[in-house]
Amino acid sequence: MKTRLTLDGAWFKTEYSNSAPYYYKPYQLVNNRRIEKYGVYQQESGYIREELNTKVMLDTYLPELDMEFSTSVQCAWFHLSQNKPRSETPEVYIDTDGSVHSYTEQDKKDMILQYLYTPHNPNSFRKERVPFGMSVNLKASKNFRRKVRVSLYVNKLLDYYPVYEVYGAKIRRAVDPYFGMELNFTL
Amino acid sequence: MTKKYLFLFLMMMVSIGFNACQDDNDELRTTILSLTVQSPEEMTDFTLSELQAVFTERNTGEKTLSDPFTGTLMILLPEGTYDIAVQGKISYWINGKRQTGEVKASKESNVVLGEKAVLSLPLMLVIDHTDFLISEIFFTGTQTPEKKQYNGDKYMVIYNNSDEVLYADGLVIGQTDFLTVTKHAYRPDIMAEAVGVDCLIQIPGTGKEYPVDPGKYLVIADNAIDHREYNPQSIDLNKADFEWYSTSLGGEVDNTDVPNMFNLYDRMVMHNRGFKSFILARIPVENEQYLKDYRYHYDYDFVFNGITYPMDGDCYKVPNEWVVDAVNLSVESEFQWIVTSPALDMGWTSCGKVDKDPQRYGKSVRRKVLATNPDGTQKLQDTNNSSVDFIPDATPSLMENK
Amino acid sequence: MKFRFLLFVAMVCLPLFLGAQNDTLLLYRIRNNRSLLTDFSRAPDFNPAARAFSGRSSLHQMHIGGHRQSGNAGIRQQGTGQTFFTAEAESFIRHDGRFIWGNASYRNGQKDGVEGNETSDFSTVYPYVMMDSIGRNNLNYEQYAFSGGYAQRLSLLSWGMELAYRALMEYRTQDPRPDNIASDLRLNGGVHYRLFSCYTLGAGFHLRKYKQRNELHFYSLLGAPKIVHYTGLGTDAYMFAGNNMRTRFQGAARGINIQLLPVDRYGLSATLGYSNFSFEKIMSDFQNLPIADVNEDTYTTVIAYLWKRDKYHMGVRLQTEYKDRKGTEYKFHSPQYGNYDKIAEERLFGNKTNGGKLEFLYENHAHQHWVWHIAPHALFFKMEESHRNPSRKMDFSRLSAGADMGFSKMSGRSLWQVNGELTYQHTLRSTLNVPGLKENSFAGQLLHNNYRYLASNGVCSRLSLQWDYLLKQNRSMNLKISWYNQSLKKYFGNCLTMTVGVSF
Repeated sequence: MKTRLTLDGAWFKTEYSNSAPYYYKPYQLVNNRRIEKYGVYQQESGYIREELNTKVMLDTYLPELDMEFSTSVQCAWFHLSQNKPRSETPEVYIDTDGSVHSYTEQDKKDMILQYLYTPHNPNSFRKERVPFGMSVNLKASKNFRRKVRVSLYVNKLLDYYPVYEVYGAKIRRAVDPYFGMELNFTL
Repeated sequence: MTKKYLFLFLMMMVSIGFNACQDDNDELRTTILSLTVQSPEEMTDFTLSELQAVFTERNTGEKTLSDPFTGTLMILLPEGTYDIAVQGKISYWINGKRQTGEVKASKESNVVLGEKAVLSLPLMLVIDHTDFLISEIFFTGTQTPEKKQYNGDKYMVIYNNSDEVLYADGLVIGQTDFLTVTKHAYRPDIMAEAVGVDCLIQIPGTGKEYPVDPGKYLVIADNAIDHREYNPQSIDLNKADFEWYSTSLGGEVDNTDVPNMFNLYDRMVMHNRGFKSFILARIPVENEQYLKDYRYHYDYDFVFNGITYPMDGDCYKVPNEWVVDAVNLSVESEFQWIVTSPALDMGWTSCGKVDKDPQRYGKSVRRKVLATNPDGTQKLQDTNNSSVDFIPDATPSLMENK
Repeated sequence: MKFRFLLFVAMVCLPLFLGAQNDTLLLYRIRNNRSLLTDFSRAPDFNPAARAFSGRSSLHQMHIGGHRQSGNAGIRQQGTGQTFFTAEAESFIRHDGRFIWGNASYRNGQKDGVEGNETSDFSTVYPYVMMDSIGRNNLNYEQYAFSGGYAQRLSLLSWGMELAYRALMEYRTQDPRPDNIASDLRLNGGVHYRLFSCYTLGAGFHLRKYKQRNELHFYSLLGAPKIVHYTGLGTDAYMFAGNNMRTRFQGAARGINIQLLPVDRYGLSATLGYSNFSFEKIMSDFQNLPIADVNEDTYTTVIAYLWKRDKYHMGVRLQTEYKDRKGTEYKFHSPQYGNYDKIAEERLFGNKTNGGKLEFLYENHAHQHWVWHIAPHALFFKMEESHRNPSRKMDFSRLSAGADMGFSKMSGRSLWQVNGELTYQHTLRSTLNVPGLKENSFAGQLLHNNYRYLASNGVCSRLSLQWDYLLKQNRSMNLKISWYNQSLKKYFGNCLTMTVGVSF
């Protein structure tokens, strides 16, 4: 009973953020004129993402029949994502003539300068987690004298993706099966 | 011998199998709903009469009309989610004088479940303004003979439905920021006091520059040119009274013979599928002061396809007391809620039956004619309910004269 | 391990390792496997262990062919015509108490006359299909099917397992464009225990997993018309009508059966089976929201008695099936766009069918090279479909009677077989009560059309001709033509199939 067990997987963690301040000019028309002011902000939108995936493969080779059977189980253990906090007020703002001014609390009430204050939904920076999900793939192959190989595969026919909740909203997941055949020639 | 017994046993199983299932004749689940209307807060001495409620069930589309009631209604309804609209008359004393008026109440998506349910709705007194009305909105654009969209020929008609001369100077047109097809739990929710708008365009003038006689109207167009040059199926808007224009949008043409609207806040881009509503208002404060003090910042959480998107937005708010007329627009298959207070407009009107309906092009919504005066001018219907005041999928008035 | 072994036998178009065949002439094996006597008890359909007692001979067959169906007969949602090309391979091996069988097929075709339905496998997922008012013709499809099984007969105990997989893709290359993939996996298993000297008692189970992804697209620049989700008898789910064109179905079935079989085919055989199939209809765009579900119970019985005298065989068979399908629709409250909370459910749809078929078979083997048979049958079928809100009903009951006749002649290296069947169907009672549904509305005329078709009287006939020619000692080629006709009042249908193949 010749069976090979292969286990592989990966863990990723990515952090993304800006290292230099960024500029933003509001696009709205106010009092029939465009806003000609640029705000300079420290933190732009950055994020943290983390993920763990594994795959277990069982390959059985039957020499009398010259056939191979593969069963692989793919698991996505979790997926974490979180947005890093963004600046709401600019440090300074720049006028069309190039002059730099600090942005004060009073400026939040000014008709034009109030557009440089960009408050964000506090929920934007919550941690969100997608829990476990698993799918099973099947493949059967037949060799003909080492010249021709025919395979049939069906992926994601059997799966387990439980329902989970994200801050009160129920999320249901579904995967569609994928099937096909392969033909390989050795010349 | 054993064979015979086996055979009999099997025949018995077969006959049992045939009669195994019985019919379940359960009745459909219904609930007794007790609906109470709360009188307007300012009222102390009043009588309500001719109150009637319409219940529209969201899951099946069924409409149920109640019997007339005063105060509390008891009604038997199938379980479900209901939009409730109440209308009636009120007779009250104010400053020693007896007045009669109309009251309305409206609330969407009320869950009615179980054996008994209790709901209460606050009534609002309908306040009539003597001012302009929106009598037509042409927002869908037209189709070219090559079956492409043509968007430049949109317009709105403002009508003087009163008996006196009105001045259009300073009148403001706004398009709502929220869509009637996506309902979110916006924080803070100010809809009972004000309307959130994503743009405000204003008719210029010092106060008496633009008079409009009773029964006459103004056409405010996106581009006041003859569009038939570019799309033979379009209209001639050369004679429009005003046009809205901004330099930062592509495809805009400025007809120097037609006065431009003042862009008080941002640019007017009419939603072409009819998902945003429109208001007509008069702002009593100076423009600068308005732009400083009436910004509206909101946030909400949007869950879509398994991902939560915490969102936020900015727009301007127009207090309901300043709003002279409001028209909600939506589409039957996508309607979720009206985006103005029910006191301003309790219903909605539409062009097309589904989202992206190919039949909606070249159609507009037009206010119904109540009566024609002896001098030929018309009185339009205005019950602050666009579902009944407007004709959906109508031929645009400017296309009729072609 | 056994699972993958079964998968192997599903790849049937392969040289086989169990080399030694039954020594009987190839043509006799072909004739034997085609005979109505073989598996007359229908036992292997329920319990794979019953293959151990089957009279089927070892045989491998492959064929390719084409089929054309035309006319206006059929349920509108399933279409009235189709053209397809097919390639199939089938194997059965019996050796030394072990039995292996497998089947592989591919079909590529086009359906016509499909109205009011953009969902595949209508007979599996009705009534919760996606309904449009445009699509009619040019529905392309491809279907792959594989199955394989193994059974072993020991001294007292026999056991068997069978796995079958079917995949279907349907699509159209012009608006409206459905893009459907259906996936159907079935597992049957069972045992038989030798009870008396000539009878064996068996018990089997049945499992099924069904999935379908059903999506519709429109490429027109101007937009799309209204799409509704049908809920039976002219009603639809009002809340989801509009542009919601992505749905899926997920279902499973489980069943058990018990069986009595004669060890050497002659005698009394009986099978009693129960199975339950349930599935959910899911809207993909709203967090995979289930909006309706179906629960279907099926009770089946097959009782047969087969006996022989010198040169002829006789059999009598009674089959009954009672199916009870219940559909439940859900009610929702939407506090926010895209989010729906289920607040209630109501069982609104019902479809009950009840049917019984009685058949007699007489097969004459007086001459070694001439075999003929006659099989008269009578069938009773009743269907009641209902919806509770609005209250609608459609039912009918029908009686059919007919006979199947055939003869086969072996001469030299050829085997000729001709088969003919004639059935007359008569509707005993039929009613359609659909208040609130206008007959000239799209859904109304579709329902009335289906009703008239189902309640029509008429004649169905079938004629087929097969020729097998022995090429070498263990190879033969085969040519088959068959024609089927349905002539009902105002509805008619014609099918023509032609295949060529090899057997060994």
